[in-house]
Amino acid sequence: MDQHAGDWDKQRERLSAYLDDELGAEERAALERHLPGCARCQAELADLRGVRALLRALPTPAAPRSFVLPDDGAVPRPIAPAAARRSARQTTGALARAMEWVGSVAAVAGLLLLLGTALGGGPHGGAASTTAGSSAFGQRTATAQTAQQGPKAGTAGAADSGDGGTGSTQPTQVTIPTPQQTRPSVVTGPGGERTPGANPGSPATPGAPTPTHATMPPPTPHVIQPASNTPVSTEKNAPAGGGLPLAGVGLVLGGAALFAGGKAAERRARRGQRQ
Amino acid sequence: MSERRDDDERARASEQALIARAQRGDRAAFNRLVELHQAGAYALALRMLGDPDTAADVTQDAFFSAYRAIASFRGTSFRAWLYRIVSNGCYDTFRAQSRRPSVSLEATLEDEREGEPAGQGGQHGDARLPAALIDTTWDPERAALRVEVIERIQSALLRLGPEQRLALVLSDVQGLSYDEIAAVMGTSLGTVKSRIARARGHLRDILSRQGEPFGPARRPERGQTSI
Repeated sequence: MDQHAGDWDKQRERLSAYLDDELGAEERAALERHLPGCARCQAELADLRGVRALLRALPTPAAPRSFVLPDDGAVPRPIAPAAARRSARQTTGALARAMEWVGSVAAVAGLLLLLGTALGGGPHGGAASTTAGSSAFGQRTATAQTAQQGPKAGTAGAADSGDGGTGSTQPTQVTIPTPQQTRPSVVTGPGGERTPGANPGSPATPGAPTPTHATMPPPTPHVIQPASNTPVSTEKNAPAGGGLPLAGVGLVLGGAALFAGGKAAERRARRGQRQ
Repeated sequence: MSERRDDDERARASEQALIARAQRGDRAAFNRLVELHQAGAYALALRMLGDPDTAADVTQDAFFSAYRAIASFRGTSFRAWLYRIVSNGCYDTFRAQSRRPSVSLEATLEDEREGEPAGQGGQHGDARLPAALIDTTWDPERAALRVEVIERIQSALLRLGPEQRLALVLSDVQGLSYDEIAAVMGTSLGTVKSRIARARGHLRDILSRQGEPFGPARRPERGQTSI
């Protein structure tokens, strides 16, 4: 009867380590309790022991010559083809670390940029939802907006939904007055993203936005404003602000690439060095 | 028993002294280290590469590299440090051996493959080392493995992926502890455990598939074998 329907690889690993006396005390005790009743494990253990015995029985090969260095004179550089590569790797160790550092700084900067634009600095974030909630004209602009953002549109939308609550704190920090005022009215609360059309009617939804509301002017007047202001603000801000998220994405990708390259170079350099 | 441990302690202490002198430029001291470790280094290279000439080149290179780098050697195990250099040399050789992609590719694939190949030795991969293999391994007159068995084991080793092969050779041919193997390979203890276990299972499968009886026995030459 197979007692090891699950992870036989893991069991073999235990048996193998047991053979070498490299199992922890608890695992060893458990295995020793298990073995007498498990024919499969006994057989596997016998096989592992057999393989080890064969390898141990391999004779020590006779070296064709002595490898002792000449008493004096220059010690040659290693002859092997990759020797030059190996020494080059060692000098790239410092370069690799520099790449990693620059890469991580760039990636962090890029992430901050993205966060900033998505949560508040981005007129797209608020504008997309605002225009969605406004007239048809606003919707058309929102589409253009979304197209421009590309994948970020999803983030912007998400920022309005789940993160909208937290994100709405951001608008206070952004210096674009009009959208800043109007945005929270749409972004407000989780209800905002699902029924943008209903937002004007329920901007005061509780939750995270509460602190912002304290600083926000009363929502009602803003209901009117989006319809008129949004298209203007959207178009006005789109070209200017459009570069920031893209730059952010670029920084993140470039930074990640640099970092990964640095890591790979460092790994190669390390393999050429001592332990 | 305690006598042996005292001997080990003395040997290690004297090796540390040699290392210290070598680090200060004493070439004779370094050469003494070479004498102490060259058999093991060469054996490692040979079992990894399967070819005596290439193994000799890699071993020589390793000692050149070690001499150049000895000043920055830290740590307690000169052997682990040296074997790391040797194994890196072997890996470099594998990459350079683009003339034989079939061997290395197959070995790499088998390295990554899970456990036993499908259909081998029954549903659970309970392939057994055939009795014929065990019975005919030993040359009774010399109490040593027959030449053809040695060759078969070496061939089977070459069919393992490089990392599995290295872990297994270090463990079962060189007798290193898991800790020391982890130091040589620059991996975790868990990885060492896993590689050794897989390698043993894999080797068992390869040898089991070759269940044919051996040809006429050839005895190894007097003295050590060259394979």
